[in-house]
Amino acid sequence: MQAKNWQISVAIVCAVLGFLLVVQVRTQNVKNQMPSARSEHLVELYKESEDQRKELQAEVASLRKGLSKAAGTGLPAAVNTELVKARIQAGVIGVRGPGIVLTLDDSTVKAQPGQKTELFLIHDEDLLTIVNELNAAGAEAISINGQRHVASTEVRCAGPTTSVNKVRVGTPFVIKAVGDPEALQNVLLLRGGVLSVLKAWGIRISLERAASQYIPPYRGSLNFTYARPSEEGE
Amino acid sequence: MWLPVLGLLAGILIGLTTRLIVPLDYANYMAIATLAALDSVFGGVRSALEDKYDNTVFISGFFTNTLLAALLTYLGNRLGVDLMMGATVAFSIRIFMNLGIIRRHLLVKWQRRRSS
Repeated sequence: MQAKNWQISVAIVCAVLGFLLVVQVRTQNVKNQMPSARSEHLVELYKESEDQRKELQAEVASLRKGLSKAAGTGLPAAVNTELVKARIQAGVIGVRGPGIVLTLDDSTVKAQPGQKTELFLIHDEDLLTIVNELNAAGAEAISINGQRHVASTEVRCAGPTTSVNKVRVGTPFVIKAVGDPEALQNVLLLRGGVLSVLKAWGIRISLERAASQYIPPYRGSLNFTYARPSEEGE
Repeated sequence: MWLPVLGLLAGILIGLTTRLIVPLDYANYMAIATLAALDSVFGGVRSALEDKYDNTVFISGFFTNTLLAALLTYLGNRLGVDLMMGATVAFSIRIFMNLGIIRRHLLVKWQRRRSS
């Protein structure tokens, strides 16, 4: 009887042991797989969405090209001229023409003790002021680092970079404008104007006239969720 | 003699069918409990072979060892010292010792049976 007794007890503990072993091994497997599996999954997702984005961008580009072709055909000349004007104004079509190229880079001058280091960097406000001045001088198309400036374009501080058309751009900033080169140059070089202030802080500036330069179209999406065309007030 | 093996198989089967996963925070406790169970099994077999087996000692030993190990692990987590290692080392040493003694007993038995 004693002999049977020990076997029963040991068998019960053995059963517990077996159960614990299996559960523990399974738990460890989950524990080991989890972080790497998750990051791999995320990398996969990231790649997938990146590919999708590229495909969609290519689709947008080809569709816009088709639209440009379709827009030019089968319309009365006057309507067509109006359409082209509207498209240039909207910035959905690339333009070529004379103008200026302004290149700005952060200052190499070191801030003296007590001076603010921010003053030696180019900020979103500086870019906005320049764009504003260019528009005032009759610029017909403006781009910042290849991003066409359109009605909805934001120029906004985004940490160490600046966000333009939801795309991050950084120094050196290359601002291109198509318009009367003389007028554009003069408005920037006004005494006490935007460039003279920047120059005072050692911002590196290069302003050149261009006989003929290309400004790319706006490549972002055109979505109007809230605004609807209306004839009111006309 | 086959009853413990049967018990082990039954336990593994139950474990496989339940598909239970311990929350990761408690994985350490589970590990130490597994070691305690393993230690108890070897201890039980050894005492049985030495004819010194006592059911109360065996069962109470199993529970107190498990509880103490879990307590040590908990305390170690609180103090930031890996006290679990202490329990692990102690259990491992005991398992090896018991295994050695079991082996010797079985060898002696086998040799006796052969010579007779």
